Amino acid sequence: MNAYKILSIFVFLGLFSSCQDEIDITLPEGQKRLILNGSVLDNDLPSADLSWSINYLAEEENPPVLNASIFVFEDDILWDSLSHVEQGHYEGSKMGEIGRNYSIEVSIPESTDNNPSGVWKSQNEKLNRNNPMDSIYSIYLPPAIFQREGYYVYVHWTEPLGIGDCYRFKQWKNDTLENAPFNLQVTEDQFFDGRSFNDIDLEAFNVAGPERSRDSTLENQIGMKYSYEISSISLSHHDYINLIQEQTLQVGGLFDPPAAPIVGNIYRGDDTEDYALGYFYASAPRKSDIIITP
Amino acid sequence: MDSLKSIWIALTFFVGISLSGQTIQISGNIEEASSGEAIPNISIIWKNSEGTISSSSNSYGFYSISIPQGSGKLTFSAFGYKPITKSLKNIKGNLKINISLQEVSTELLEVNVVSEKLNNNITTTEMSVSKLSAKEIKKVPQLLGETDVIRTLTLLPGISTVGEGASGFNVRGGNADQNLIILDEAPVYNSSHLFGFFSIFNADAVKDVKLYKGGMPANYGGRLSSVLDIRQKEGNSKKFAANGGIGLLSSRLTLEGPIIKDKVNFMLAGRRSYFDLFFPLFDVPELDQSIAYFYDFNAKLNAKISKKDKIYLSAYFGRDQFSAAELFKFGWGNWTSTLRWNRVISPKWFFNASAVYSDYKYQLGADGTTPFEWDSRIRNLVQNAGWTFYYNNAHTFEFGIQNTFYEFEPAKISGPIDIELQNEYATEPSLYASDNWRVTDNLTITYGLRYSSFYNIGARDIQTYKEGGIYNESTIDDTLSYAPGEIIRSFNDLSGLEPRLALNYQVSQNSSLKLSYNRNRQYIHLISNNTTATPVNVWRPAGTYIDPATVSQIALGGAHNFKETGVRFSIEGFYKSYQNLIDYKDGANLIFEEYIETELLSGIGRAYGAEVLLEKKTGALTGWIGYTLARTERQVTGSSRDLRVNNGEWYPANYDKLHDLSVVATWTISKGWDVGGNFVYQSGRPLTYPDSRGEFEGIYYPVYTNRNGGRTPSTNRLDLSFTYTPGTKKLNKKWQSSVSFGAYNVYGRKNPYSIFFRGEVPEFTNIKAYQLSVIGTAVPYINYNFSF
Repeated sequence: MNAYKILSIFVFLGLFSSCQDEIDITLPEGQKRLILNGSVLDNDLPSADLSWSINYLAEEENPPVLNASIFVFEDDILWDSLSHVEQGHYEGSKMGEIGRNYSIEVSIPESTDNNPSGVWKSQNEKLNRNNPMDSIYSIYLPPAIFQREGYYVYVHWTEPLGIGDCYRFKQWKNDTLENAPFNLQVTEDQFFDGRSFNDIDLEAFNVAGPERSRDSTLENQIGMKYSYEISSISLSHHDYINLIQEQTLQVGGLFDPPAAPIVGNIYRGDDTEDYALGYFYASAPRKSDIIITP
Repeated sequence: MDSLKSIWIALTFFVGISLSGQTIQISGNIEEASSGEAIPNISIIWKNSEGTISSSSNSYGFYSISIPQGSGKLTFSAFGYKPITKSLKNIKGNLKINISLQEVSTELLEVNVVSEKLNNNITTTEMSVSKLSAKEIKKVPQLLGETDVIRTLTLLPGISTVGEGASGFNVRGGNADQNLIILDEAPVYNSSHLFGFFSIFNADAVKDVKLYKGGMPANYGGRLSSVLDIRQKEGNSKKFAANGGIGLLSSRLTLEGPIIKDKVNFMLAGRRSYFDLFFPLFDVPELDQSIAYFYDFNAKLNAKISKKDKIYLSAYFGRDQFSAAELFKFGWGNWTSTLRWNRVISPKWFFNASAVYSDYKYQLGADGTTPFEWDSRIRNLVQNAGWTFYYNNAHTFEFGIQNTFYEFEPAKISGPIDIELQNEYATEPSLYASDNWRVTDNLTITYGLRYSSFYNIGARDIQTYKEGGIYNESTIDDTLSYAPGEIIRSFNDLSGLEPRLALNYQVSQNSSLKLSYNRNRQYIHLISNNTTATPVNVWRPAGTYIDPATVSQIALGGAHNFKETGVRFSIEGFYKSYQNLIDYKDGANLIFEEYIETELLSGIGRAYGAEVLLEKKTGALTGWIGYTLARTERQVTGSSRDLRVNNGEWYPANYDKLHDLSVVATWTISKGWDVGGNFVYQSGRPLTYPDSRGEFEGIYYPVYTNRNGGRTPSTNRLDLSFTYTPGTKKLNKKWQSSVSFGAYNVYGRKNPYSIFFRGEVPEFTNIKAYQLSVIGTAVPYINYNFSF
């Protein structure tokens, strides 16, 4: 039994006998839009993934864009071009620099497949500062109230002083990215500006622990590799990721927000009314790993 | 200030024109015989050979009627009470007559007698008003048997909710924050227990409930859509009495009685839920350290300090508390208190003054290794002074002044870093005057004017923006600091005028046509873009960047009483036009936002429809059939895509439901047995369907372009209750008890609250559509009630 089960009981008490039933439904076909997810990092090569939007209930993957020309600008000056690698994935050759602004431009020629053509541009994204992690470690914790027995992974990290920074957190288990909507974790620094996450009243990040499934055992955790990454991002990117999480997780419930378009920072030409899906961002990611040992 | 002066001059003139004329004045107080409770809305009819004159008692049980010299009969009557008729001969001077009316079971009332005497729905200018007594509310089958004022109101035409479990209610296309909920004149900011499943009003402590959907009297203001006026019981001034009940969800106890007989009396009521007491049954150690309950207390003390003066002190305190060991804690609640003074200045003048304190707050927090506390609250101090002048049979004037002081504390966090949003302060003074003018025997007009103003005051820092009306980080220009008490922005021009008009034309003894118009202004807004408001949503005032919202409503209707059967029929059509409604930018972040203007949009709205009500209040079978056909829509246009909603097109509001039918019935089968039933049918509510799929780093997400373009399927539900009251033949038996049992949603229909889409865990791919039913099965209940 863990915190999630307790919370589930509260929800049950609150909602009495609420139930969710799968239903068949036909959804409208919306306008086909370009999806562009790209980045410039200070420790890796710039990249972009291009595809087209499709019906929300389609079983296939979004079709990739294979014939795009992609350019990246640094402080509004052409800086790098990205080449197609595979299945709509494009890569460049340079690494970004903290404090610089980056943007992307994508050109897609007319074709016979009825997909849109034209030029899409992103707004500028600043590559913000970040601190490396101070340490990553694991400790064994016995069973207790709201605590399952097992190895828990913690991270010490000091946030740079000066309010206004935003961060994204990612984690991997055995080199596989934990990539569901509830793993989209971002934060602003207003509640811990300049503080160390291993201080009085501010505990270290608990980034991983034993699985919630009944099959999970202490022995399963031995040898497991956990990786954790803290990336600096812009406030705009922070809001965008928050919105994706909100619109994919908080749906249909009593207290959920209204459905809202998820618009990033990419537009066709200079027309902010005609937007592409996805986001182009700049970031300074800092990553650490640990392997659980007895 | 010139406009304020003009209002005063008009008011003085308005009252002055009527200070003449000579008649005999009969006045007094009307109370319930067994408890001494003041009874409002009692019909008072004077009849002699020259004709009929009618009046009614006010909210405090006081009445005054002007009659000519001579002889006649004065009758006092109301549903549920045995009428009293006084024969008065050769009266030449003013008289004071206090009346005690005896309560009788409505099923024992003879229909033809009652309906003839009780035509006040035909004679009054009141329209768009729903009244319920505590007795009526208790008869309606309820979820888990918890008698619920607000849930019962939603069974009446024009009143609805987003869905089962939603907090608050919507009146004629208005948001939940557009309802002024007052408990003994004190504003209540969150009327929900358990996130909206139950209301905070303990029916045992409630005397009566009145909801104005339109045609509001001039003494009410501050909200756009409705006024829900709830009066607490005053307490039994004759003898000590108690009643209570034990239910599946909660138990309650009410005590009342005289401290000094007929002079000072009290009422105390308490209620507590106890589903957390069942936690040990789950056999989960973590639950032993968990809390989940709500409670509320109602109290009232009344004192007749002289023949002309009464003082009332009433209070409410309620809390909801949830916590899971050190993991989290969450609580919210209201505290209200009212000190009221009534004085009968003369047979023609009645005075009411009150001082009110209201406090709503919530807390979030945790006690673990990173403990924190998050507090938010809104506090009010309200002063009212109102006069009623019963000038003659043709005119009854009311006028008064009010002021509400607001303190908003949006968020105060203590934890690793102490941080808080700035408090906001405001004051809302207002004046009102109205006249109930009986123009002819057939035509009555109630006309009035309210003038409200609003001052947003410091101390506070205000962010300024570059020209263009776009508020975001990139357009910030400067920050202005205001000292404590300094006016930041005032709203005191002529747009604060709120005219009120209600007209009744009596076509025949049993039929009338009605017309009403009202303009209302609202200066405070609940900042919430959830489907239904949550306890953690905060209120913010009009100010530098938020304008007051206004609504104009016109309603036309008719009423007819079927004399032979005691059935009342009414039909009303309405149209409302809203200005300056708050809406939210897509993906707005409303939590802990200091500069809330960066997340808000402003729009307009419209609502229109027709309501039909057929009700029967006497006999063995009582109840009503209510039907509403209505639309409510919003429009937010703006200069760019992010400043518009739905690309600037009209879109239906979340609670727009075209058809809403309720059938409510209670049948006394035999002495001791009552059966109650509700049937509810509603059209589906709007929701937004995704029209394509985006992808972000392997996560699929919906693309929405058409706000509220789809709808859920329609809903329907049947609730049943059975009440057995043993020993009803022994009328004087001291201990009386009853057992109620029944079920909510008898046939277990899975009514859709929403339809949503979600990928399969853990990858969240393979997206499918799901229907959420909040109460997807029959919910049985059993209650034991007692009184002595």
